[in-house]
Amino acid sequence: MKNIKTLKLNRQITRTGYFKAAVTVICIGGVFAGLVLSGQAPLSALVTNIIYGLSTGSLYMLIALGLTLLFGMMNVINFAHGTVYMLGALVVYFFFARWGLPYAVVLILVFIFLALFGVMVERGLYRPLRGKLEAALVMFLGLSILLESSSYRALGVTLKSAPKVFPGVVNVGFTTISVERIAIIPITAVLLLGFHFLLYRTRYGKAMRAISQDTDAAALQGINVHRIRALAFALSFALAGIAGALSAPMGFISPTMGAKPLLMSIIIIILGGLGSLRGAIVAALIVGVFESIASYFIGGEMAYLSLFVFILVFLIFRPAGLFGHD
Amino acid sequence: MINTKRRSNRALFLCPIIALGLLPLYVDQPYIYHILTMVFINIMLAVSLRLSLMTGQFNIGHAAFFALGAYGSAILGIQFGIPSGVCLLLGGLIAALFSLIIGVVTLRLRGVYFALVSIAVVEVVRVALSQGGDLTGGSSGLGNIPTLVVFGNAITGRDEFYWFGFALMLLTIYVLYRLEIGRIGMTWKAISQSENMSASVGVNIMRYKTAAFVIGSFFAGLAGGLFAYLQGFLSPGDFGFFQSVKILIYNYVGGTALLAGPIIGATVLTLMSEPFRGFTYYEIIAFAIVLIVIIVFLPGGIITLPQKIRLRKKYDYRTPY
Repeated sequence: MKNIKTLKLNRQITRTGYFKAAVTVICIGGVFAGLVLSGQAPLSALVTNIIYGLSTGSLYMLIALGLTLLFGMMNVINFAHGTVYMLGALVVYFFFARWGLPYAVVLILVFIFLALFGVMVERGLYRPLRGKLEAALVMFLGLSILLESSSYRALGVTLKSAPKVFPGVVNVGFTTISVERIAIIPITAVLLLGFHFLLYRTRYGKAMRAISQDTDAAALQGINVHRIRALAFALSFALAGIAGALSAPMGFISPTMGAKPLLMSIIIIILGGLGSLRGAIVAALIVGVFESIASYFIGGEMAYLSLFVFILVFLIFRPAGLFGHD
Repeated sequence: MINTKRRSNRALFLCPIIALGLLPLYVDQPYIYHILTMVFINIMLAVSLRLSLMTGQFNIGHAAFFALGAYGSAILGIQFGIPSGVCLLLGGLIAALFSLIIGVVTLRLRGVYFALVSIAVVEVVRVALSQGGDLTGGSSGLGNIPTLVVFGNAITGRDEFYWFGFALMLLTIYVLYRLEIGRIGMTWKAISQSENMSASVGVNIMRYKTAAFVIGSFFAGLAGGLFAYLQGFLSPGDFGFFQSVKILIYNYVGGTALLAGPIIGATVLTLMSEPFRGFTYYEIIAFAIVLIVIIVFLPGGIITLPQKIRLRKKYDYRTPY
């Protein structure tokens, strides 16, 4: 009797996404720990890269959460999400770098602008397609091309940059880390808490989750599906825009800056399971840290390539992802 | 979809073919030929992608096979000195072989999942090409591609490329047309309409889907070989995600109901954007606006325009393919 119980318990544990995520982390971590122990890499580099990876992972998380929320509700991948990220950085460039508004105000502006933009996209472009999957995918691809090429008119072809918001470095024992990278982590955590509150503690969040379970049934309960979808668009666009705004002072601002985060967050939502929010959060951190460490050892392009090969194999053998439901 | 006006339609197709075929005798501007050859390459890509779409697979990775055909034929010519006409064909076969390997494992995924896999495929191919060292020329590109020789005739001038590309495109369209109106084409359309239904009447779905995927990739590879010899220089940036998206867009702008759809879409969009390549972004903006307007207001693509403005009434475009 006891045996059966423990067996059942074991089964339950091994079935949860957290367990699978932990196994993934241990596998990746083991390889790198082996590298460190065998003297291939200094420990300080490893620690620095883990922290940098967590901060990139947080940015990816903000993008991937919106992407996976939209997928869960509408079964579409928003290919324009990378350009929404870029738009966030663009707003920062104009309002913060050019016109000198305080950074906190600019972040709020980014949130408002992109939320409005999300509502506009839902109302003007997504709703007229009446849920046709292929048409929606093509429309998003077209939207991303449109936004990217129009922002060339706004930004010009030269790379732009914004002044640093959190300058300086902090010394953690054996290594130094720049403050702006660390600052992203608490900001993301706050946004994540807000997102969690909206999704699990309010009526709107309940409606969103109802729609992602069954759209027709949700509509029959009196939920205004179109309005809630518009809200989801607003939320996910605003989160991606904030991610862009956070990343803007750290690097260059260019119209194509959204391409890589888009592809990375697609990898993340596949790894986490399409439509799964917890999966996206865990997978974003895994992918961020992996990318950061692997870039250090084998170079950025090879890290990128290995991630894609990995996700190709992963998608073939386990399309549901770590946290996904079939 | 029974065509009642077969004879008049045949004339409708023959007129532009003859006009385009005779064009080099009257016009003498290499630049026009270059653009038109690009139109032919894009038409080949668009109609070959149509096979994937026809079986219900939303393929955003078609540029991967285009790239494999281009690099395959170029590398075979450079490294092994194989005659370039043979290389062109081998490039198509390499793309087909690769797509067979990819297709066997990925084609059971449907919808968005397949779309995401195909993105991964095109990105893997692009990054692998840019990391390929001396063999692929890395991210700086591959030059020194030998001249194309077909049956002892060197194809060097723009007008010669024009004729050769035109012939290759006609061949592609003809083969795909015969396939589409034949038994196999009917089966593909049946699969796209209901996979379970087709399986229940005894269609081997995987085999038909793989066949569509491999044949499409073969012609994409041929187009890639032609592109390699036309440009004389290849860089991985030409074969990324954006190129795949463009091929897909040709199909949807033209319309997916008929084979004429991708042909019209590729022609219109290439003529619109190719002359302005690298100059200004207005053309890409126009490209994207045309796409969005058509997707939202003309869901069947350009081919349904005559029906929309009531020039033709009788044709039924409602069937998805």
